[in-house]
Amino acid sequence: MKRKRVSLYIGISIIASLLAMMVVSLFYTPYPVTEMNRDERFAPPSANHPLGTDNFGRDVLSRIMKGSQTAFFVGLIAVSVGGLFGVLVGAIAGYFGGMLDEFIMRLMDAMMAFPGILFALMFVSIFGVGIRNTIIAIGIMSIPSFARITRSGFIQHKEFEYVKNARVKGVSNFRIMFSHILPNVLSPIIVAASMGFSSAVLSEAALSYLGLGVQPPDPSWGRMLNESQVFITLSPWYTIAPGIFITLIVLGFNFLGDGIADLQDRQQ
Amino acid sequence: MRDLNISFTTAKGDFPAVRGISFDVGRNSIVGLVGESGCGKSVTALAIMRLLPGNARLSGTIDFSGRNIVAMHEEEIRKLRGSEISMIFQEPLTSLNPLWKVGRQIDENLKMHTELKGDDRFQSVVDIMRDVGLPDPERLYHKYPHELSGGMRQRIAIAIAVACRPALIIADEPTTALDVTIQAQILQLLKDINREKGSSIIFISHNFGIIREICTSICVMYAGHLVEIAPTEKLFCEPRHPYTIGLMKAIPKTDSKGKELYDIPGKVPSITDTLPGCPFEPRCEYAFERCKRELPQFEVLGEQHESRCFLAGELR
Amino acid sequence: MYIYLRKLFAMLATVFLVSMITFITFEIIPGDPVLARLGVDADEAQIRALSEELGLDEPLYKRFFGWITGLFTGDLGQSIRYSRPVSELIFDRLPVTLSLALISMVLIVIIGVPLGILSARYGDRLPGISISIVSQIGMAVPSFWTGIILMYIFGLTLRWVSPGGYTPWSVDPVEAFKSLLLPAVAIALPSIATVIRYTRNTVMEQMKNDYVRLAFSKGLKMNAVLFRHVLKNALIPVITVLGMITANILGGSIVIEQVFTLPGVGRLLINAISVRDLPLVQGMVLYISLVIVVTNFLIDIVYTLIDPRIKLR
Repeated sequence: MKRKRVSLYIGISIIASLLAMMVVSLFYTPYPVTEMNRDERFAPPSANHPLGTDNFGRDVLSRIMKGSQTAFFVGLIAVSVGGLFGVLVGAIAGYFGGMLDEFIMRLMDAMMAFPGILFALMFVSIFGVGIRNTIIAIGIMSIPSFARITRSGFIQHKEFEYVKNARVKGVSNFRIMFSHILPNVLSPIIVAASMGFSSAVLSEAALSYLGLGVQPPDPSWGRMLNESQVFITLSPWYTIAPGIFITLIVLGFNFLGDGIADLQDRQQ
Repeated sequence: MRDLNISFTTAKGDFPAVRGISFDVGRNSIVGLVGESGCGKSVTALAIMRLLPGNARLSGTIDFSGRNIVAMHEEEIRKLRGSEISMIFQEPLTSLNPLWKVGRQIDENLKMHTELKGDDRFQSVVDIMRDVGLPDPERLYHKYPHELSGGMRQRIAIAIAVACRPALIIADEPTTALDVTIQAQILQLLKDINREKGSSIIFISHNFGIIREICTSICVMYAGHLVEIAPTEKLFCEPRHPYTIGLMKAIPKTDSKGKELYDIPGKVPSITDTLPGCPFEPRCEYAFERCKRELPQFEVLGEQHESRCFLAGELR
Repeated sequence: MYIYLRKLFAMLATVFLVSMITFITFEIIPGDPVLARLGVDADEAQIRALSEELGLDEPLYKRFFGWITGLFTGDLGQSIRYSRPVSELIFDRLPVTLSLALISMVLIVIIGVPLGILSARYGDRLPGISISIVSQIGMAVPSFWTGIILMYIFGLTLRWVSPGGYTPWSVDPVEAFKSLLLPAVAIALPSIATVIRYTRNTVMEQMKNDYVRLAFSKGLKMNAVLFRHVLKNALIPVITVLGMITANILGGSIVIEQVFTLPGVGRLLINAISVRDLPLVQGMVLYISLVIVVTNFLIDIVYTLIDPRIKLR
């Protein structure tokens, strides 16, 4: 029994630490992110530079800290956007059912079958690159999973007593859906949000790696991987650091999501 | 079976599921294990085949032709399964593998426990299928479980159980999931098997009507304890335990039309309530002071008739 | 028989739908491919000439029909950048991407499924838990990073394979395989983790079923029960997930081809997007979508072959 809580604690610790790092970076980084130092290029990790320096002599740790801002920002906004529309769509599909539901679900299935990265690429090829379009593309990609989870929750709850009572009392559909049912379906949606966050981070990293996501001067771990790849023989830690942090934040949100899901399971 | 105790070890502690069960199953007999849901009858049956989950702890002895099942290694008991002891489960749709042809599922037993090969084995399976009352066995062999009716599926399950002529068959509520008309046929089939193939049967049920129909003797269980054991007609004519008496009263009879059905007041204790005295005491109308403190021992009342109650000799 | 025809028909309908959507999507694009090619300072005459050459001045429906008929003849238009037919360009790169995808899929199945079963068998004990943890990490690591690291270790440091680049199968099969192995591993890793998780869950679910109890009651050993009875039942949901895995592999290959500089469809796509060579992008999106639709169709067919309960419907 106790074992299951482990996921939750690990997730919380990882995310909390990274979040702390991000908040700190808003006010302070060990070195200015753009400060170049010709003499200290490709320096290995040391007391001065815990994660070494890059090809311009910039401190990698500071750049990583700055990069966490983008990771959290993109994740948060994309998941919020996707979550908002996804929940809306899923609620409507689940509550009203019928042809509308069929149609929406076919659409969602088609979207899920399509490789996410391909969609994002198509999107930026049409609308251009940059952080804003990256967020929109990733947001759209996350709509189907929210829609699915919300829909099944609504399908389940719409048969429950309290919903029937509310209808009999004359409460409007809109209020029933969002004031009555939605709060009860919140748990799995939160789990989906956590998973969506990690998915968003991975997508942004891939897009930025390809040069089609977050553009300079906005920092991005994914783009750092692209920049560092050429120099890998000279300073492998410049490549290792962003990868580790991407993995950490994804792991963190995955564990968090799993932990919350386990918590729900046990309550039931 | 002597003094069988089964408990389950969980993160929250050990829970006794079955306590101090003793009974005998003779050759050619059909012994009924009857009681309400949760009284431990299924657990007892699974213990005989050592099919309980890993956190189960057994003590006591289960003597099978001179060998103690409780003390056996996994390898030893595995050899007995399917060949000497076999089991029939309640729901035939889920107890058969949905992706295997039904004939093959019977064949697997023969393949494992006999030396028969190829055509001989196929013929044996067909014969067994015919014996359990399945029509057109050669064709039926190649069907899948979902293509058969509930009654036919249960016959397949029975065929699997009797394939190797086991000495003991454990039937866990084999007719509960079936239509009433089919129930009668299956019961008759089991009786025939018992008579003609010489397999003893342990028949588990919560339905007294069925138990009376098929069993030669009956063990009544309550909350993990064996409370009364008697030959069938003896039990129905002269029940000597308050619980058994209560159960008898609760059976609807043909002349009880229009009268209120009797219900034993109170409810079955959960596995987490362990009382020092008699488990039935809270609901017993004959209970007195001693019942709360002390667990009654078995009182022998006659030939193979025992009851676990202080008042056993006096109840009518 | 009918069921197969119905599925085939559904697939073709989807194909049509996909092509239509792809076509329409690229029609609403702001920005002008002609200008992209000629530069902003091009004069009217040049723009008109190129537009005519590319057929961009035709009315919409005409172009759509042209597109559709082109699909049947294998003509997907002309690449603006390379001045060669799109289909030709794609075909050149197909072998690379397809081989990559195939090797990845094989790796995923032969590593993921057995580990998943192992993990389920030893469920709550050490091997089971450690496999779970490892697969969690496997899902979190970005595949292109894995690719970079692998290339660094095996390509640059140990020099077991050449770092990047590709040798065609026709020239030297062994070298070809070597150049595809690392990229395939990088692509496969996250999907292997997913399959392990999935397989573990379905196997553990199946183990709770009655027929498993019956199998034990016949005297079968754990291995026999697992592999003869449980496996087939558990694989059915796993096959469903293979459809999603295909999409992952194709998506993954787009990025990985970049990491290892493989001359595949993915890299062509990225280049095309950077220079806004829209006919090319359009063609490749269509190709990738078709691969997915066809693969899902095939998986569906495999389904009906394995599960006898489905045939009857």
